[in-house]
Amino acid sequence: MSGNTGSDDEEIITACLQGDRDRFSVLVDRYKGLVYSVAYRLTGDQDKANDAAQECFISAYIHLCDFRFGSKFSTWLYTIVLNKCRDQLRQEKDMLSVDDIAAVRPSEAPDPEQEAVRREVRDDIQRALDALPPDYREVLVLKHIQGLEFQEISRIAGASVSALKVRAHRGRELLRAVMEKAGMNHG
Amino acid sequence: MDKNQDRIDRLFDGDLPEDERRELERQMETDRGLRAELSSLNDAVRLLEGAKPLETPADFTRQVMQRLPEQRASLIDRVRTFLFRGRVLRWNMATAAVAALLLVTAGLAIRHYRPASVTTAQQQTVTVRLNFYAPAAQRVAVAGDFNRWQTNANPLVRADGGVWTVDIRLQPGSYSYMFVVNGTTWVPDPAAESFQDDGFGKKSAVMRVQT
Repeated sequence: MSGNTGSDDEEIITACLQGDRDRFSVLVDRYKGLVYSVAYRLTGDQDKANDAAQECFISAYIHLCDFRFGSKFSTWLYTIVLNKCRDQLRQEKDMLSVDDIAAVRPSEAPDPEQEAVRREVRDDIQRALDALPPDYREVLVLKHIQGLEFQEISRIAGASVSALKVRAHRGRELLRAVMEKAGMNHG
Repeated sequence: MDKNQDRIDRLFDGDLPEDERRELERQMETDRGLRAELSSLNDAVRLLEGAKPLETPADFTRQVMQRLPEQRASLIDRVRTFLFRGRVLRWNMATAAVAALLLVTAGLAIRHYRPASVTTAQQQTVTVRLNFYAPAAQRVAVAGDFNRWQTNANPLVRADGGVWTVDIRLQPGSYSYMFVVNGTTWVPDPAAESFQDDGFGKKSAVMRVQT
């Protein structure tokens, strides 16, 4: 990320609140990489990540007057995108599984070629993360990919630092097991 | 928990002091099992830490901007922003001189003014006492829309039995607020009369102040 400051973000937020809608694009440009990366690592799908990331910025714009000046804009965005991804995963769980649908309507099964391309795009990290429960995935993504401190993750995820550390320990253990099973360990 | 396992966890959490880290490394030299354990966990963490930044879909910003609602900020929001936003004032000498003159004039006027009665606004301010049970907390403050969600404007004072307390003067109205424990953890008041969703999966406490 660039060398922008919190006060620079706040100046843009103030302009947006005063009706300068176009200035919001500066914030989108500045934080889209961060938001999209988190959304992709949590959902494991490019289309879903794109939806969640767009929804995140739209929610942020609509609720901009609730932003707490003095806090980091990025922390606020992390909170929003995390909730968007949680909603998306929850909705998926409530829907029929792909196997259920395929059993009823075989003609609408995904094109094998498209599926192969989609799988190829996924890197080792994503394949390993996809195998973890969402709670563990969240904390590993924020801690080890985004490099955040537990205090900040606590504000974002709405959980205590001690609970998050337990999730991180278990998540790392699970990740190791997944990698060993998939032959991804190097030594 | 096994001492070494605890150290390994703290190492990856970034919480292991240097002396304990050195001791762990010494043990690793002779303990093959410990070395294998650490190595495989290290592989898992390095895999995550080596994640390359992902490319955002082309046209992302334009798509977001197209989907934003058109409405301008309401008049209330604009007034609120104007009044409360942080800003740096830049003065020239003429402006400073006028401001100084106004201040002197206002000061003299206030000095010679004798009010006939106390103002209505002062009469309507109500003292509200907030209590919060947090025996393990180092410090507690209350942040809400009445203090622009500042985390250090209204600190609570530790009373007996792990209870923290503060008195704040508010005009009648409805206010949302949360306690801030140790400067970082936001907690809604469990004794609040009601709660409201802040739109992002958390709840703020709500109090209604009446005369």
